[in-house]
Amino acid sequence: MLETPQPMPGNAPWTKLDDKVKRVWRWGAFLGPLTLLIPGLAIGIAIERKRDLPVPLTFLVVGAYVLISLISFFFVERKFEAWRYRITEEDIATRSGIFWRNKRYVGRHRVQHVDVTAGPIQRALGLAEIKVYVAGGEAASIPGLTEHEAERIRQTLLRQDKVPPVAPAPPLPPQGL
Amino acid sequence: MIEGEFLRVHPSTVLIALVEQIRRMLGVIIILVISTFTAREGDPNEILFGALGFIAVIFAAVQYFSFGYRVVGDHLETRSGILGRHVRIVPLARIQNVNITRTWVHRILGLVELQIETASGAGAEVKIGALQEPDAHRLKEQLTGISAPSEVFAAPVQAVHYRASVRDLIFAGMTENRAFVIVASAFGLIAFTPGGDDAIIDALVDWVKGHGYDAMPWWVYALGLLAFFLLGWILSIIFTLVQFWGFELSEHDGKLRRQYGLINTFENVVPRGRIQIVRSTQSFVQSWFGYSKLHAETAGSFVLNEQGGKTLLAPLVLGKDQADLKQLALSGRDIRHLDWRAIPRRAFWVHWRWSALVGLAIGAGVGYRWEWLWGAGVAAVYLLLSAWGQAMAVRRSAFAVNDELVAGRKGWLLHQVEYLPLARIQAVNIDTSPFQRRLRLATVTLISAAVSPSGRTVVLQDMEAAEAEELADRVFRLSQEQARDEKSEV
Repeated sequence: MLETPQPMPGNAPWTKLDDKVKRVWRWGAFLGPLTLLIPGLAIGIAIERKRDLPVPLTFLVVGAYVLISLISFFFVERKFEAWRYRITEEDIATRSGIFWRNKRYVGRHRVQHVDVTAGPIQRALGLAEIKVYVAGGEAASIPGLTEHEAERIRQTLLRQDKVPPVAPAPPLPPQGL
Repeated sequence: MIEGEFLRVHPSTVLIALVEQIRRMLGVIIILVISTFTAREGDPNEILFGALGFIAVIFAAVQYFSFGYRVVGDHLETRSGILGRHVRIVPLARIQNVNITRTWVHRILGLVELQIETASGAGAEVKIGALQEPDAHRLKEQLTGISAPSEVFAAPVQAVHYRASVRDLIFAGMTENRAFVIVASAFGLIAFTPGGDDAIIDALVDWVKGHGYDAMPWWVYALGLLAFFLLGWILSIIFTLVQFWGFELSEHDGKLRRQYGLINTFENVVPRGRIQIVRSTQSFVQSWFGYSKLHAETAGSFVLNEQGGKTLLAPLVLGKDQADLKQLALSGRDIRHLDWRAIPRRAFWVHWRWSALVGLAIGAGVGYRWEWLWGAGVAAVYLLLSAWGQAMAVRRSAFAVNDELVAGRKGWLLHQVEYLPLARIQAVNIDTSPFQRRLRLATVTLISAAVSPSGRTVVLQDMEAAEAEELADRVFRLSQEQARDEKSEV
């Protein structure tokens, strides 16, 4: 899959992520909003101590947390179905998103460095995420790869000789007008 | 030549560093001064002042005595710090840029500061605080291999492409929108007038009453406001004049050289290969007169008074000369024969529906609190105005592609035109929101290697979805080919 020469974006086959990433995202659906729940609860309790409210604020906060978590939990399947990536000799492309959809294209020879990262849940499931950087910042990331696959992609991306040979440069850059 | 021993900078560095320290502590000093006025007997203000001064002097002296630099072979070495010694080695081949700048202190002492940039990040890698001017030029020459533009050595290929006249600068100052900041500070000053904050107001009230009015008529307030506005305006003009005095953009060994400044002077060289995006902006007032301001976004550069990577090419330039300058900055890529294509009119709905919601909410708020008729009026006015603005913005939005670059145009009150050579494109994104999808629209984002986070992309919003796909595909493919051909330049 990696070695198919396909110069045009759009014609090469797109690959799905590893199935196990759904488990990571399902955990994430509950763990992610925790960062909002905890300060929210703290503020709620502080306000409730000061004054009486018709509805306990903490209930509302917890309710919102549960709602957000459940929504993201139930959309994991569709999110997984929407996620695709594709690495050819020429470029790296990803597409994702259910409602807000995006596609990213990065030229292979533009790649400055490649990170392989894994959070605790990903590590427990033997998954890793690839982050591709170009001059100026992060350009694309692919979550939910098996560790083996992530390492293989990294090796491929960093192997310079796989990129088509550089045309001989002109002796001087063009001198403007 | 400069080799072997570490060299010290000019002894006046102590003074320059001291001024810099004071500038940094300005906030603290102002608070101290204010608190001295209100202090009671026995408050330790004098002691604090003394301690602050002492620390500043010590820091400045340490900075001077510990800093050294030398050129060894093909490396520049600097050394600093007393407790923790810090040695930095910069290969000369990695040096991208050497800026010569001068603050007013430097000018009084007849010295200059050398800022040495490498390709890393948005900061000057090495700063050599104070040098005699001939020494600075000699070191610069040694570091970059570019001979110094002095009277003694005739400068090689050099053509001045743009010189800001006093008229240009005054107009730039007049139309620059920093007036309101100064107005705010003027009001702030009044609040701190000794003898209570209504001293001036009291005098004004007395004066008005002396002329047969019972209370302050509204036009006195209006006049006061106008006076402050004029003051801010004049200050803004003066600021622009002082900052960009004698602005000159020239070509020097195929690189762009800029120099400007009345009190703090600045000179630097921008290799054209590092220019990523060329952008012109004009406020609607400037657009009546056909003037605009020209910027370039560069990769890995830092410039005094300018945001990282945002390189001013011309504070104000007339429409007809603009194209020349843009083409110069874009290494001669053609921008005159662009086939501009407007975005579809239905893009209006993508953004205006938010304004509509806000308008209705404001109207409902006003209606609930005061009068429903009022609420309806407010909502109607808001909806009409925002619809008009949005329609104008959509009408102005357009894009163009040729074999060398992508261009985008947008903005209603602030017009903006940007150009990004295909060879500079690092990555391409296509985004669609649910609402855009219903209207078959998409947004294309082209990412360059410029360092300024706000300026490194060209965003073509709300294009026809099919067209967006096609454009992204074409641009990406061409950029790949051209980047390979041009690799040596980047």
